[in-house]
Parts: sequence; C-alpha cells; structure tokens
Amino acid sequence: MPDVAQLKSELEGLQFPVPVKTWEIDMGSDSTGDESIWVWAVLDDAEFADENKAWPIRDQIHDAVLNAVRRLFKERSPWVYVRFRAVSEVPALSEV
Amino acid sequence: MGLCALPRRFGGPCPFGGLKRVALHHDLLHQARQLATHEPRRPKQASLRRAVSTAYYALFHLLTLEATDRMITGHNRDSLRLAMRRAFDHVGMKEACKEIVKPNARRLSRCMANQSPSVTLKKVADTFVALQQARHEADYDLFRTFTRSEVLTLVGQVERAFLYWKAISKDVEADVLLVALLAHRGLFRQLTAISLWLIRFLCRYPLTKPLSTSCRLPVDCKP
Repeated sequence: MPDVAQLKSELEGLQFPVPVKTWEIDMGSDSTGDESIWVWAVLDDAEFADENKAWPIRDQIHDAVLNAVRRLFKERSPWVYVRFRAVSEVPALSEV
Repeated sequence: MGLCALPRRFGGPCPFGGLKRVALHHDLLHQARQLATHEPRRPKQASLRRAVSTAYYALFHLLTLEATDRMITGHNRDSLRLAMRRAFDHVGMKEACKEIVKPNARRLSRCMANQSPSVTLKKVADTFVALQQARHEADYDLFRTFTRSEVLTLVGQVERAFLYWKAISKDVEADVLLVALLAHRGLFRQLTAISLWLIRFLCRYPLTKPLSTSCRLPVDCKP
C-alpha cells in the first residue's frame, strides 16, 4: 500500500498554471469509516483574491489529485478530500 | 432568516406572516460566508467551524426540501413533508453521494436508462460528501485546524453546487439523486419495494416538468 511520502512525490511531479507551494497529506478513516486521504494544496495568497478566477485552477488541481491517487492505489483507491490553503496560513511557509 | 423555514411541529399557517420556507438554505449559505469573514484579521476557530457546518446544512436543506416537495405534493401536506425531511439520515445521504461520484456508477446508470450520471450531478454529490466530512471535522475533531481560505473554498463549493443543482434540477438524474438520498440502500444494492415504488411513482408522476428525456426507469431498474 503506497504511503504519504509516495503520494507527495507523485503530487510534486504535477504541473499546474499556478504553482502549488506545498502539499499537506493525511490518511485515515472518514466519518463513515471509509479509508480516506486528505490533500491540502497550499497556494499563494493571491490565488484566493478572485474566487471566480480561482475555480478553474482548483478544479484542475482537484481532478489531478484524484487521478494521481487512482494511479498510485489502483483498485484499492481510498476516498479523496482535496482542500486548499493560502501560504500565509501555513506557519512553516509563512515564516520563510 | 426565513423564520418559516423553522420546523413547525403541528404544521398550520406561518405565525410570522408568510415568509417562505425555501429561504432557509439560501439564508444558511449567506450566513456561512458571513461567519467565515466575521473577524477581519484573525478568524476564530469557532467562526470558521460554524461556517463549515452552516454551509453543509445549506446544501442538506436544499436537497431535502427538493426531495420532499417533489415526492409529496399538495397544500395540506406540510406536516407530512416536514416529517419526511426528518427521515433523511446523514450517513445514508453521504453513502448515496459516494456511489454517484464513483467512476463506475453502474447501479445508478441502470436507473437512468443506462446513461451515466453527468459531471454536473457528480459535482453536486461530491460537494455533499466533502461538506459533510468537513462538517464532521468542524463539529467533532478538535485536532483539525481550519483556515479562512480553506473554509471560504468550502463555502464556495456549496455556492457552486447550488448553481449546478439549478442547472440539472429538471432532469431525471436529479430525481434519481433525490430518491437515492432517501432510499440509497435499496437503490444501490438491490431495488427494494419502496425504492421501486418511488421510481415507478416518479415515472408516472414526474417531479419536474418538463422532463428532458423519457423515463424508462421501471423497465431498466428491475431488481
């Protein structure tokens, strides 16, 4: 079964119109007990300024994450929750 | 807030002068955004968590209202509609939506004349799953920390789901989703008497007019 490091490496190889500063990943069971993966894509703060413009990129990232998980986990693919955060909200990055 | 959206135990006329109950989900969605932006600088976790929960309930109430209004018609059925809305269970609704989102939703397509669920329907269902999970974490998981961008994105997802729903609400697949939310186990595992009855009923008396495609559900959904 692939682990967080393998998934992170897979995600870091993806290309998008805007850079994903970092990926945060968590694995576990969701509220209904299904194996799940939580993926946070951390984007520049500017990417949250105009929500209408941001959605196509978020959709692209969402779909790419889903495909990456399916590639890696194949038929045992867990449920995926994709979420987004701004760099300034991630302490380790905002202090750099 | 639309006061008449609040459950009225015994039905009857609205004591507050006729504000429409359909306002509840819109009001909740509006309130979710307000909560997420309540503190201008450092958002409190309490505000962000309530925003997530409120956004989820906006979508929950939209779908349960749509379902009950379509399944039970008639002006003198308010109490029955309200009772039926209490019959929706969150876990079952999430399981139904997961089935719809899965790449190979074969059992669902059987109920839609072998058509696959549209991307739009999948987005509504996926948003329901995402928001219910987020709501669960917001209400119960104190290890999770929510950020404003994250919460505003979740609220935005629900706002988009409202628009997606509007786009497909007259299609057969919208009816199938609403039936699945209530009778998911029967619909996805094996068609039970109630789900079969519901589907036959819906085909005979379509919930929405006009339906975009002819309904062949009873033929295609044999258990």
